[in-house]
Amino acid sequence: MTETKKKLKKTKDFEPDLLVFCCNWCSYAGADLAGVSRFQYPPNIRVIRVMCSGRIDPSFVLKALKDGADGVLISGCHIGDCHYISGNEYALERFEKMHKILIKQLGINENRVRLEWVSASEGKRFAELITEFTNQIKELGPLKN
Amino acid sequence: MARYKIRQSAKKNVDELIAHKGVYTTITEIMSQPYINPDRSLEWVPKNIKIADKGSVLYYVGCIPYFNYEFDKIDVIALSTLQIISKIEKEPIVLFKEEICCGHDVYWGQGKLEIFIELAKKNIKMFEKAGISTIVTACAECYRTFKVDYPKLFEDFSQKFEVKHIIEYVYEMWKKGKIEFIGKNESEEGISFTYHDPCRLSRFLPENNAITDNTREIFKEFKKLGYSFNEMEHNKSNSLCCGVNSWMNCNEKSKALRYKRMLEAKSAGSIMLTSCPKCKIHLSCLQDDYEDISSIEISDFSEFLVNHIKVIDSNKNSEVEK
Ligand code: FES
Repeated sequence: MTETKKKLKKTKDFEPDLLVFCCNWCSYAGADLAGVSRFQYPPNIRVIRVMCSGRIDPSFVLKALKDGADGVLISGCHIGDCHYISGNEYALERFEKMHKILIKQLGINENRVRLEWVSASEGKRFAELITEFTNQIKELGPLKN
Repeated sequence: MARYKIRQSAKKNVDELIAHKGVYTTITEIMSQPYINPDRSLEWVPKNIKIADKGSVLYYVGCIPYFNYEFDKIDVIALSTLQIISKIEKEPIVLFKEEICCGHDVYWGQGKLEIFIELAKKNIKMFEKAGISTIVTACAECYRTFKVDYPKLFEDFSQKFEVKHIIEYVYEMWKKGKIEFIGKNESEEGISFTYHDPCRLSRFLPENNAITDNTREIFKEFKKLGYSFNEMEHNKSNSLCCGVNSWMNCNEKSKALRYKRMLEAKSAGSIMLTSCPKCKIHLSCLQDDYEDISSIEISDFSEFLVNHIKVIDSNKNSEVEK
């Protein structure tokens, strides 16, 4: 579809559907902290908890995009903090390859799929991250149009 | 057309049977959506080869660029095929940046007929827009899909487009006297090689196809160059499968089948050719696990031929040599 048509459909009240994969030990706890501390962030995300960011296979991301997610965020512990020692390093490696070979070649905007590290103490950062991500996707418009 | 139903009627969740957790089939499904316009990298295309968006001859690459995600050295199939075609054709070859999957895997693997039809429509539109008349592919599965399955859905497909596998293409050009095979094997003892027939180029084609015989005829010619061709125990339409067509069912049984195939290859020669990217992927995957078969060199038909083709040209100026 052409760029202009895309813009027309990009109404102000477009609410994106975002999927967030959080690892159990850091990012999920971070998200929890954001909730407990009452930091506000847009309600567009759905969180899926996995044990480690290394669990996330590119097929999960692709399936999410196929089934209507407008953006996918993968988050895990900071490098070196993974509770399974090197899970997030695998995640990073896989993510970079996926970005370059799968997402980009499919013609999907790269900003729709992101990888971020969020630790258990970064509740504030989690809220900010989600706000920023949501705004970015709102800017891009729906994937399906 | 109803064969895919078997899997569904077996009441199995097909998604569980897909190899590589469904990465490649999901990509196919995404590509069928109207809002997706792939932007494939053409980095692998060498600078001296002219490509275009419009023209009469299309090289349909297939999903090879996506396979780079997990497999190394798969690009070489696309590269050598393109080199072969561009040596022979004078006009620039059409390569699509926004090429999509032919739909073979969702059709055979999961039986998602609607997605298959969507893809077919999208593909045909793209071909028509670019004014294609001949489609050349190096993928056995794409070939069978274009040759047999698309015409079943769209009757005029085979009138509008001529579909050729690279084997067929090379064979025709050779018979027409446009090319010859060069490049003698210099070593003392001859190199023996064998050929693995992909299912889609043997038993899955209508009976009157001549591809298996054409392939043998080309290989016979290689005897003069010091390459001797040996058949494996199972060959032509009786050949053993690589076990994982359409990215389905990569399990111990298909591995056993592949191992058996590799043993056959080992006793037939030191090089094993095939003409399907997936056969190459799957057969060479097993080589990491088993040392006794790791000595066999598996390569694609076009990879093997690319340095053995010379164009015979009457007006010498456009002669391309390699
Ligand atoms: S446990 Fe958090 S990334 Fe591995």
